[in-house]
Amino acid sequence: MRRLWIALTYAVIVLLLAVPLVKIFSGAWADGWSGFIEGLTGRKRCTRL
Amino acid sequence: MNVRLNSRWWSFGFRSAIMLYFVILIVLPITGIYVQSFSLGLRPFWDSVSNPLAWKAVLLTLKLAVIATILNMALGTMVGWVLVRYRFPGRRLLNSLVDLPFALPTAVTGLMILLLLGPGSFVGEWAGKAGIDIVFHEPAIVIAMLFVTFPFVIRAVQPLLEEIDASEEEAAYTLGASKARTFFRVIFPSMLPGILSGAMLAFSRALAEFGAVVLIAGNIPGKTLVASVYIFGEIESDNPQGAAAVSIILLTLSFAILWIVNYVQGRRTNR
Repeated sequence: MRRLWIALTYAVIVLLLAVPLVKIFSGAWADGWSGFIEGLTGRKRCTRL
Repeated sequence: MNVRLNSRWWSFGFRSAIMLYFVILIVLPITGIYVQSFSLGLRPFWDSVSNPLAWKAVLLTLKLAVIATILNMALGTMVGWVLVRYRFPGRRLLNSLVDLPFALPTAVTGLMILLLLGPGSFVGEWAGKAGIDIVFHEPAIVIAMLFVTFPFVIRAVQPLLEEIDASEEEAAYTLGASKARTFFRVIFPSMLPGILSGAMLAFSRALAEFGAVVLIAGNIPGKTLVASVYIFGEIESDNPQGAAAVSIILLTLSFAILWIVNYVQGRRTNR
């Protein structure tokens, strides 16, 4: 039972907090370092629409 | 004599500074909202409040905030319990992650949910194929509310769990009570004020959520438009009186909730 509660806690925190956080980091570098720098300096414009 | 006079002046100055701070930061803005909402008289106020779109936005916000709060009570109690009662690898990391929603701007939260569940993402595409609507529909709003209010119940429950006297539990076990019975008759009543006050704060916060929701709700009037985004829309449409009228509904609800929280905490302290 103890293991089940710990596993559930891990699942909740990882799914609700950690995964979105990782996703935003991976999203920021989706186009590599150059894409990240362009996004940061405002030179990157939407090209996917 | 001189020392006493000095301390009296210090005390007066200190109290005046606190009162001034309170008035400037809290009383004046709230009074301004109430004044603005009735600025054109009672009839325009009533028209703004009884506007079907405004009511739908308020009711939707209430419904979704209640769902997020119930989920928060269950998950928060479980997470709080596990983090206090069990020792396991990664416990400190999980404990520090709990406060993440307080540290992040809510717009970032909205963006994270959009990247994770939006069109083009793995989950979004899978949900689309399965016919499940997440982003730009109510589930996304609940997820956003759940994210931003996640720490409230946990942080309210943890100190109470740490304070519980182990001898009470041991006495229950010695008298032959099962684990479940001990939990519901000894531990849970001690946790309840924390769960309730955390839930009230979470509900109050969920009612007011804007930054995360505006990115992922779709903001369709009457369907996915929540009260805070409705208020923003009214300001954008140059209708500050209408925005203030809906604001005071939320404000009054938040006041009532905070009063209940104070009452619950007051009872806990007096015990």
